[in-house]
Amino acid sequence: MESYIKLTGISYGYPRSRFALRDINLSLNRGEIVGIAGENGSGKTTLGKIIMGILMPDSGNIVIDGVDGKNLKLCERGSKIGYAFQNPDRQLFAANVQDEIIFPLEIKGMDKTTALVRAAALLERFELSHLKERVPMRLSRGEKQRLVLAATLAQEPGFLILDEPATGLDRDRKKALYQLMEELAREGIGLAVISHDLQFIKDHTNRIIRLKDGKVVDDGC
Amino acid sequence: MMAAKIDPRTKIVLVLSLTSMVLVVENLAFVVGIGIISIVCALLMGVELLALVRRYRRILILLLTLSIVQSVFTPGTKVLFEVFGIPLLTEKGLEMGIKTFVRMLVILTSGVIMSTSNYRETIQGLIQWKVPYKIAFMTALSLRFIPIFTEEFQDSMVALQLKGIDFRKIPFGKKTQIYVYLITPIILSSLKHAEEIAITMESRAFGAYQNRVEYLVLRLKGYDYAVMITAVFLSIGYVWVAMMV
Repeated sequence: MESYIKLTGISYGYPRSRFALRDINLSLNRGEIVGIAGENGSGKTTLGKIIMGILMPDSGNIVIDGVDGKNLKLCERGSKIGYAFQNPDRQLFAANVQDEIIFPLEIKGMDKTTALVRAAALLERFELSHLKERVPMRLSRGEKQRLVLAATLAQEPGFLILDEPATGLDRDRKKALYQLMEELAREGIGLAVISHDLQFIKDHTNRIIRLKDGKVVDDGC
Repeated sequence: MMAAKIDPRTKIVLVLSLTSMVLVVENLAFVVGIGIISIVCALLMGVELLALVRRYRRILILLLTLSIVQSVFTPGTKVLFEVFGIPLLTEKGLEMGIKTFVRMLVILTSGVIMSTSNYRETIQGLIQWKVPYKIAFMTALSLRFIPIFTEEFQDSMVALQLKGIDFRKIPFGKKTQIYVYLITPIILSSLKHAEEIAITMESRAFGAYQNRVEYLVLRLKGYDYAVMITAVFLSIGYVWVAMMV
């Protein structure tokens, strides 16, 4: 099976800093749940940002869905890979919860009726229907995270990167998140979960990639 | 390096001299001269020119665009460029465009010169000049917020693009809608920041005492006086010569 995301020899260093990533070679596939673990500063979030195209690697190559990453604009990568930031506030823009899902679809040319149907299904799935008129910024952290996921999935990406998704969630919400991850994987969406919580990763992912000082030190089940 | 040790008050005098000169002088050659002087001053203060151009690339393009618009819409008698008999660029328009660009560039460079001092020293400099502490602190705090807002704006731009939105392909009408979406989280987060800072300052008893003692006390050195006096006298002389020509 061809990898959905393939990284070859990726290295990256922040300006005036040591290398954040060194010679990363990885293949990420649809339908699998990958945990990216490591201590603070090991390069987990940097790796996520490199995959998304938010940061450009100093060397190496990324192929996404068979297309060279260099030929993909940020918005094109965003349609192929969904990314949930560590801080959900950074991804919420609209005046109400329903509009948060609808507005990118409408801007991209989808008619309002279809967008509303898609939004209603996602709001139902993420138990946000009763909050659809609420201001996103006034939601709780857990609700914001669910809304970000719903809005990301509205783009129908092939792969999803979740940066520290379990932060601020209680046990029940963590369990619900895990169930959702499994459902998405069954639907053929690949998931990469970035977390420093090794236990969460061990319990809920099929494959663990461990990073240390910007290098992959372990890639296995 | 000497530039790093220059008192922020000296930089304030330098910046005031530069900006006053560029606003008072009307002669084109002298205005361009002030532009060059301000860049030289920035270099002497340890600013890296290439990094500066890279950092302010978008603002410079905006300044250039505004200057071109100014050039095109300023009428004049001597036409330099016309299309089907309609004058597009006149000599006066070109002169106005260049002057506008240089004036805005000097203001931008002045900001950069001030940013070479750390904000705590700048507040202290203002306080030692008898500016009320609360005003000095608020001024410095607002300056400190600029890079935070810039970063938040860039993050929001990235987050919007990750929603699959291509800014270049959006029709004009929808672009305004996008900017509303961009600005909303920035305003909300700035209100949140302001509230957090207010609570933090209250909890540290900000303004509870009339008299403050200072841990950091700035002292003007000989070279500070030399730079200040030179800046003031040279700028007066420069303006006088520019007016005489």
